[in-house]
Amino acid sequence: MPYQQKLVTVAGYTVLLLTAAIFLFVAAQAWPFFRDQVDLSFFTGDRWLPVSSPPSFQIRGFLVSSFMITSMAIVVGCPIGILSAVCLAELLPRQASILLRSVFEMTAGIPSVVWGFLGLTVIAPFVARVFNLNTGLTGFSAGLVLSVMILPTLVSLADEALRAVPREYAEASYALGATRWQTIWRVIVPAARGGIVAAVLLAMGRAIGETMTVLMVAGGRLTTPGSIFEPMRPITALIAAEVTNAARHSEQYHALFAAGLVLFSITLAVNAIAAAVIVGKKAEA
Amino acid sequence: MRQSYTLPELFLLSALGLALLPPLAAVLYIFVRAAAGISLEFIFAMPAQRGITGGILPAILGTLWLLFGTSLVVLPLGVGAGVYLAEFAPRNRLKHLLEVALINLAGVPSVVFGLFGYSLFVLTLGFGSSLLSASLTLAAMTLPLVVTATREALHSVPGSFREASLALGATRWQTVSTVTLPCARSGILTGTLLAMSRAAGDTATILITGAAFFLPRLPTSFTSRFMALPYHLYISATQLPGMPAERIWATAGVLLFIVLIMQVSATLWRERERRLKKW
Repeated sequence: MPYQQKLVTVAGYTVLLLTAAIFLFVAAQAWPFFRDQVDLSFFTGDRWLPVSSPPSFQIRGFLVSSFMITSMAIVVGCPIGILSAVCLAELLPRQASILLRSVFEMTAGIPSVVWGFLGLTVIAPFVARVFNLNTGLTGFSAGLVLSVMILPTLVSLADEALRAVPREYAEASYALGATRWQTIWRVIVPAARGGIVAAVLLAMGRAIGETMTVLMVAGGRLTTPGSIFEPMRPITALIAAEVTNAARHSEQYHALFAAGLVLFSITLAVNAIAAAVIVGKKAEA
Repeated sequence: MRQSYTLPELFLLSALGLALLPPLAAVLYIFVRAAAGISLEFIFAMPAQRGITGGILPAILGTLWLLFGTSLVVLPLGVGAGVYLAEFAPRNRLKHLLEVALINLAGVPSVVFGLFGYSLFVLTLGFGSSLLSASLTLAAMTLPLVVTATREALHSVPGSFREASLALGATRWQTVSTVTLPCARSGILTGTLLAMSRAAGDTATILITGAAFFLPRLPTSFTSRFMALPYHLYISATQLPGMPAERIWATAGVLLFIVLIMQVSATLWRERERRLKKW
């Protein structure tokens, strides 16, 4: 085997190594925190008080915030995204679809900090006015911005899934006298169901992991929000806001890594399910 | 063929409009608002008075340095891994595991990459908050994108090309380096460019691993702290009440411009290649 081939083999295994290393490094820094925990209050409690004595580190509020904002982004984004994908894959002329796919891809490149800035200056004041709130910096505003941000992921993956449906399915349906509308909803979309589910899951993973937008727009209150119209702080924003201020090996430092490990595990679970759906589909084909 | 649409289909198309409108409006709005704050001084001068006056040159150069450092690491590693996956990896459980790892790596939130980089590069390896730590962290973050782009580009090269080369007596490595890789070059390039545009805009990782808000000098080495556009935008927008609004919009405009230039050139390049391709 030539040495170049050995080199690319090593590079290939770096991917595996890196994935493992990320988990191990985050887990190693989180371990001292979990070791000292006797109960589940880390997950169920509402007191995040890093500088009081004794300090208290409980993340229910952040988990609930992440859940609320992600749900909002998915509920708003999914219908629009899936319908858009149907347009691209089935309705528009080929050239128009190619162009619009590129446009979607480019909008995926708008940095999250730019979205956060727009949320802060445009969306939040608008939300405050429409819903008559004291502040527009709420989970609702963050969810709204996120629903736009997840669209490129959602649309491109769902579009891909729809286009992977063999042409013969549609032709058979037309040959039986079905209209285009019937063919789309009774044949093509059901056949692409697995891929669409994976698209939604991966978009959800993105929404959970999104940091800057929620840090800037969600408002930053540390306790469990009562509704989505309140300021809140998702788990990603908690980490980004506090980790550089926490002294190394302080309790807060380890607690933040523990929060990071929880976040990592959630996204890993969501992505693993999506991967299983995709790989399972491939094996089926 | 002329398309005609029924009423429910027009409803579907309006959903597409609804999906495209916000990002396009956002881009337009930012460029319009940024125009007031853009000047030669803003782009080419050093900042003064904690960024309230002067320019953002160190932030622009910091972002470019960051991209340079990131691509230095991620290009050989990512392309290598992509080549391995597409051309050499035997079809077994290990390859399956690698592919699952790749999908999962792509889904890791950037803030978790930040935590990883902070604990490994900044603290354990002692690189400190620096350009080096941030570049390495961004390289880890963009690795799955480059690997996937390389693998897909190689997959799209017809198998008959490989067979022809092997039939002429070339070894597997010669086939890869002289036939398949050159054919896949443009796909790899566009994928890398897209990955770098992601790195250019990412804030959470560099916030944790070494970006500074106000450094009225250029980084002197890879171990210096540095200014970068996305972090500059974040701090200007959230932590500095005295910052004039047009300067914040202008910063957002410059960042968006750099990122979109990379995206647009990647897309145009790919379309051009697609038209020229004969297979």
